[in-house]
Amino acid sequence: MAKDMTVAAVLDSRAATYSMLARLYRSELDADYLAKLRQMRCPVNTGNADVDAGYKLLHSFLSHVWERTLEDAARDYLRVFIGSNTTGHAAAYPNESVHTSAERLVMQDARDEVLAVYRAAGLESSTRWRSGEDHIACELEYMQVMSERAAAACAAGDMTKAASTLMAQHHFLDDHLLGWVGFLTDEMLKFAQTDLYRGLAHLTRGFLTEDKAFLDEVLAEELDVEAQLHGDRPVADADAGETAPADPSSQVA
Amino acid sequence: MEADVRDLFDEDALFDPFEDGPEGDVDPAAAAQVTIGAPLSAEEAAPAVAAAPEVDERTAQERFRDLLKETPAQRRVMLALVDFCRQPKTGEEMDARTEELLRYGFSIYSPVVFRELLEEAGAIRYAVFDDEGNEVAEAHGAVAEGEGPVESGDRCGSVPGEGLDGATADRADAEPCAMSSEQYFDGQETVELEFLEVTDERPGLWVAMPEGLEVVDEQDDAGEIRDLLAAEPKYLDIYHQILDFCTEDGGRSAKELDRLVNDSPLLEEPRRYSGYFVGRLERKGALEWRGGWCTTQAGRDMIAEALAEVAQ
Repeated sequence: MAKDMTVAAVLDSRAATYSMLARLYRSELDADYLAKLRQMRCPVNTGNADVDAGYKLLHSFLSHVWERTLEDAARDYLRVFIGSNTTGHAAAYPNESVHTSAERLVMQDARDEVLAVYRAAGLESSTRWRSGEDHIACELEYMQVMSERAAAACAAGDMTKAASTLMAQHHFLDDHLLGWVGFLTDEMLKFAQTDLYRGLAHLTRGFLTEDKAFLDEVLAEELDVEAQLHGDRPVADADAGETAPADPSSQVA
Repeated sequence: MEADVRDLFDEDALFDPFEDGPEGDVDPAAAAQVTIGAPLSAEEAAPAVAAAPEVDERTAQERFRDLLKETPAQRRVMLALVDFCRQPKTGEEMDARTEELLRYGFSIYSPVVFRELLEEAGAIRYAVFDDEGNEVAEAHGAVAEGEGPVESGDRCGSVPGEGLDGATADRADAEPCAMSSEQYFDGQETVELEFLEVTDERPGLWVAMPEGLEVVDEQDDAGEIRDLLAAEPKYLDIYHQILDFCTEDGGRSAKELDRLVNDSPLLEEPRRYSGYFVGRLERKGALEWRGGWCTTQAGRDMIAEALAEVAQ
């Protein structure tokens, strides 16, 4: 029997994917999370080459788990995200500031901006977190939390709240994640030696692109109104490319 | 004292990093080309990032012997592990054996890392066998530095990652993948989505390599102990006393050994303590710590040899 693919189910699924991505960037893989990942089914032929490649590499990694898998993954995490010298190009640095500041330093403007966004959403970073709020794991976690809020609002029938939450996500994607994740994932592919982090790079890039297209579609009407009000955002964002519906107003979810 | 230390402060003598240097000190053309504090470009950093991996030309025996020298505290554990897999052993059996060997010791290496070190040294290898007992070629772990992605056919049913970014395309498995599918209704039509199912890896066994066993078999504890005793004939009696004393069940504590030998006139000049002898005997395999210092079989053989010589 076919399962219903409702908007609420899609929103839940987005939250789960953001959660998984955030977890994989936050710290090294551990035995519990590896066991959890191995329960996962990897979709094929999703229509996005990066997502397909990402899931396929992840599947390859998860299907070849053996006694040294956790060691290999931990070393690759270190190699990919931390690196071993101070040239500023020794790793795929996971903080937005590094990629958006001329000096390639952490704790620059991008960090202040995302911190303001988190606070506006009522979120504070944990005192245990020491890697900067513009770390990719934090930014993805923000998207996870907002996806959960949108799903809850949708389930409660509060479509206005759902739309405003999704709009915040749309802006965050535009203003932050999509602005630098391309650089990060390119560098991840340069440094990663396991299918886990190669797959993660592809999956992150592909999923964020797809999510942006999804938000463009469900928020077409709101984006149109916003563009008319502010006059600075073109109708159906130009960077939505070919995936943007020709008539956004007819695509409102 | 009347003077305040702040009165001694001479502002004129302070170093000013922004002060103009003597004329002609700085070449304006060169200064214009250098931006202090500017980050390296990716191209400038590239040589440091992509250093060519060194090729290890040592034989497996040499690598294993070097490993034993580099990790003297774990030498016996490593030798015992290689010896243990003369017959193929599972990872669980190797874990149990490693933990048993480390029962009275300590290592920052986990059992998995011990096996990795030994595998890298060429002393043991991981082999996967099919149901008929034939070895199956398997590749594990990280992609080696410089190794390209697998450019095999698409056996998993999804689109190969052509043109994704050129560096990583596809690491498709050699074996076909388990697939499942599920139907979803999106409000207008039913769509069927396909999924790759994660499968279990066939477990392998750890097998000692002939090169590793060669190094294990060349170990001569008895010979090394004899060499140790011959090198310090002055202390022969002390060594024998300690070996004999530690044959007691449960071994002897460091304090008991101190009481046994520290007052000996032999140890007065140069001043020696029991630890000097215990450390040497342990390194040569005559003593081992099992909650107390215990004489090993090789150590007991030494005592027997000494007694036989006295009897003659």
